Amino acid sequence: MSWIQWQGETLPNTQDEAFLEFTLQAPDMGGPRQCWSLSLTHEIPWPKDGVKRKYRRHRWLSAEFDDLGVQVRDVGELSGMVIRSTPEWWARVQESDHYGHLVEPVLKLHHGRVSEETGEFEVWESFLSVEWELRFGQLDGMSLPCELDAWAVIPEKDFFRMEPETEAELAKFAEGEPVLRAMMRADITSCGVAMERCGDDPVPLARQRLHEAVRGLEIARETLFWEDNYVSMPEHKAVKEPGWRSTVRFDTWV
Amino acid sequence: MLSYRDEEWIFRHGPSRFEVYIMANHRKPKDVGWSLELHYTAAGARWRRVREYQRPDVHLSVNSWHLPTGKWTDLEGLSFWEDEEDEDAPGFFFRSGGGYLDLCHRETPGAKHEISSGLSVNWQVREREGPRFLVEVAAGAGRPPPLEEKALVLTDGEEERSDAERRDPADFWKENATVYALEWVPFGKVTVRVPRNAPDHVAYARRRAHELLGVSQAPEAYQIHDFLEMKTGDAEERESNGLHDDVFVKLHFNAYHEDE
Repeated sequence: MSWIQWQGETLPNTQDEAFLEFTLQAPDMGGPRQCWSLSLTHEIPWPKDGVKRKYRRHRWLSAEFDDLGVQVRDVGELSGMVIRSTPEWWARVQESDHYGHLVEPVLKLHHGRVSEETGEFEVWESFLSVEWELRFGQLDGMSLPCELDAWAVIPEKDFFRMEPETEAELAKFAEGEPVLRAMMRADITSCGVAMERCGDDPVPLARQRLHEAVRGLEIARETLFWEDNYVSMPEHKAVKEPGWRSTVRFDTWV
Repeated sequence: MLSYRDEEWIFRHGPSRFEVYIMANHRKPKDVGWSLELHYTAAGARWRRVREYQRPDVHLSVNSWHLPTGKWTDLEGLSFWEDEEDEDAPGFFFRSGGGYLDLCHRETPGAKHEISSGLSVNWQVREREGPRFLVEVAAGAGRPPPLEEKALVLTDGEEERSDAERRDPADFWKENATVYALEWVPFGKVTVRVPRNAPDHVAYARRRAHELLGVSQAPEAYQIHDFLEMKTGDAEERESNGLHDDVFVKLHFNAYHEDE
């Protein structure tokens, strides 16, 4: 079940669940080894009135983290974990990924609503927040409850600025009531293991690395994806071929 | 780790790497031009609402040096480190054979980059781990003070070394250099100038990289830059000149970086 309170309004409950996904970077890459992403989409359906509408949902709100800044050795460490995005924590997890882009756990929110009268969008807005707290409950299988609160949710167009935040601004963490409050179950759905060029069958090594990096993951199936060979020339087209870099995806469900 | 001014910096993987330029007239390994590229962005929570590409940044480029042996793995143990400054040297340009440092710095968000070129630099490779090298770079420190020669003699007659003698010599540079960096950097990119009429541009580039650098593995990625194609889309319409006669093949190794 998904419960959301957004800007003081409690939205109708839904059966949506969040997805917690995990990527283990190849050992020859710079940057953090683990990347945990979280995404929730709370979708409110139309009333069952038989009317055919242009859009599938009446209203929705999505919350996403591209990277939670978490590194664990056992999936059980997520149980009871509280992540509070204080400036001190932020400075600890801020890093460059292997492409040189910064890993920064900004919460991205999208809110949309379709007009009942016109059937077209009447609200379509995006927000960013750097003041949030995420609390995980007890792990049960590959699923765990989580709660997310966010303060200082800023429209995306106003978020970026040219001056750094002052000490006083940084000190104002989580003041007042949260603008967003969410409760949902988060399912650990898949784990991707990025592999360097290591022969025609990287799956066994990927499986071993995954279990060494994060214990306790329950894997139901695995799929191999070859990456293309990044040829950028008119006479040599990029192809996906065995022996190149790859990603092995381990799903926790069949 | 970069120490430069009072800012804290994040090392940017990907564009930070060793780069090599093999031009048409390079016949021997010692002809080949090398550079060490280090990129940084301002660190800390206070920058999180400034777009990444507008934050203060630093780009250090140690260029115009050569590796005479013809094997890229010989970067290990490379040292262009001089504790003593040459009194007669002009203070910049080719002081030690280790090239010179270009420093590009943006101090405030959105400001223009300030570029300082041709700075004297001390740098060395401390360790190697596979395709990555631990490099130490220092510039603008003056010279280390002479070691204190006085020794403390204890009552049992044993001599105790002074604090100055116990210190790692690198500490002086960490504390006093205007720029000091210590990073793991991969051997990353080789750019080869290839004659337009070569039957296979990539094969030619790989052969040159093998002959002059000892690179035998296939690159992670390769790109071709054809300035004629880029300008007009039609090679025949463009007037030929030295630059346009050739194409440039970029071979990417280890860093897995998507180039410009």
